[in-house]
Amino acid sequence: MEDFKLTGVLPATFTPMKANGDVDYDKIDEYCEFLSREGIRQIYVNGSTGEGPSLTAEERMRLTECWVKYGKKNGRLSKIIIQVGGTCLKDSITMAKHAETIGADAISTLPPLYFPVATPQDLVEHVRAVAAAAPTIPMYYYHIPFRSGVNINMEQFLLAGRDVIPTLRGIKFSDKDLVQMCACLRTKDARGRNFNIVFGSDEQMLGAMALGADGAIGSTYNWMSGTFRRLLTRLDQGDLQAARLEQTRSQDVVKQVFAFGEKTNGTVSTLKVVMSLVGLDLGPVRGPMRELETKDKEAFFKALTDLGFMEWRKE
Amino acid sequence: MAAVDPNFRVKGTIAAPLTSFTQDGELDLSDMPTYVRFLDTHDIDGVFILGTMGEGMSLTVEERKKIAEEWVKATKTTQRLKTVVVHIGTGNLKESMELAQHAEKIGANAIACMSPNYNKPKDEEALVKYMKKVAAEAPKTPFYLYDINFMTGVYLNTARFLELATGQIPTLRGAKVSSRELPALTDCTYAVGGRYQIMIGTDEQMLTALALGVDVPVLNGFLGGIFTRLKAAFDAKDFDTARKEQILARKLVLERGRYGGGPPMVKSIMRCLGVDIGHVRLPLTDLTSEQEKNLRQDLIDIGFIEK
Repeated sequence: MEDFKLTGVLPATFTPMKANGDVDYDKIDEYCEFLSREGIRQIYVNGSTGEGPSLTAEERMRLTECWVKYGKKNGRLSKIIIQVGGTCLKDSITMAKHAETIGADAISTLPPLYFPVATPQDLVEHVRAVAAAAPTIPMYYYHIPFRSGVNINMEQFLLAGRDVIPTLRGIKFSDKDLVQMCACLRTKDARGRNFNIVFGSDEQMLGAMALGADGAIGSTYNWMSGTFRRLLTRLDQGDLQAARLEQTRSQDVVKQVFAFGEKTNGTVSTLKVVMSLVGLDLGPVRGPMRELETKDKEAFFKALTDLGFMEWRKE
Repeated sequence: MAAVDPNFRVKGTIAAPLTSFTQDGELDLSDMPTYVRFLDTHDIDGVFILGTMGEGMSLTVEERKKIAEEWVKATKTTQRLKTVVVHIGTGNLKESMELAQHAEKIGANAIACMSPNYNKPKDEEALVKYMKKVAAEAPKTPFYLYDINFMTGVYLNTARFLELATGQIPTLRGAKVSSRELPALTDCTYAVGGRYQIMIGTDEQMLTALALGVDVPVLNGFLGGIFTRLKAAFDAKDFDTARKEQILARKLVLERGRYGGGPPMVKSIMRCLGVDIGHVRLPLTDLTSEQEKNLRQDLIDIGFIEK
């Protein structure tokens, strides 16, 4: 655990579903194969993109088992992070314990989703309880205020938590406040290491990486990780103009995701259906989200294709 | 012949009971008999279990089933407290469907469901579609929407929900409105020709609700006596007395500003009344003993309890 660090680009995986809305566990093997072909070696499971809060605890645990089993097969995936947060702490503790037992590499948790936590101390208390259920693997707090409604200052959270949560390794930072993100990057844990900060807003990834974020987790990395690997290479080489081009490609795609997402009660629906365009149908989304109607789906796919998505999404 | 009586109504004064936990946050059912006895002898006719005050969202599906069973069982030996409305809202559809099925199986008088709060429905149509699936799992049990916008973050038009749901959800009998906007509450009372029962979930709006014809409150269990007196005064057109009782209830709510609201404070109030309903579960935290001491003094000062 000492050297555990998330870097590079990690997709937040979708949850494959059958037409009737049941989880399609059998699809995970094929999904791992797909990710492997896309050059992906690390994933974040059962988050917002994975519709985690729409799944039961049993489903989430069974998914964890499938992801670890098929992901680790032939060494396809090297790091699997399981998101265990929801409304009920007891379920989160059960899922955390389970993830550790099954062989997940790390866990992550949302804040409690119903009763709001008001102070960094309250949040630390909650995350501590979840982390304590999986004492041998790292914990990443999942900061996503625009979804969770919990907007606690992350620097203060890290400072309050570092001596109290031994496995706290970092944050999945899904917010656009880059100043706060930088403050987190400069915060050291109880051992004097910098916390591992992974950025969660794909459309601004370049900005975050330029400021020193260690890596990025997001839904669009499922199907356009090539674009972002090029972005990171160009950034490394100091070719900002080329790096910016990749980011604007990402932004153009996300614009369409949001535009068509107006009709689906949530963008996970439009993000998920792009998988069909690139060759892996992962099925519908869970209510209250909806599917795109056929004509809208076709229009969405055409919009992406016209952008050149099919060409520049791959490396 | 409809499976659910289209005129079904919850009657009387309904409490939103607390759930007892040990210091470690484990479910503790040993406090239930004393608690049931308290409610049964303090003007309470029924319970709306596992809502916000009951920390429903902090409990696992299995725990919620167990608690529902215990409440239904408890009503076999109570004198006055007979109605059990089970809140089955969770973060997701599947769990709510499972809890709906279970509630019907154990003989709940009615069920209620709040909107999912992480993946939020963007319009009333989406909410109807969701609730339709939930309600269908309990085809013989009256169904109520639990509208609590400031907790779920879902700010939809409940009156419009009722309109759209008519004909879609055959078991729909109304809404428990804990959202605080009185004009919206008014709209619910006359939606679809006034066919739906609207219950009020805000302690400080009991009197205003009565003026709108909303006569079943879902309130904290220690307000039974206050509501009895308030309603009697209202019915007798003694509005000065009615207002006095409402103001007392309001002052209790204002204690929230000093100690935080919700289950932690209400559990402390119950302890000040001599009934121990244990601790809260994370992410909630109990009041400190210092805070509880100060709260007790406040309750004396506002005239809610004797010295």
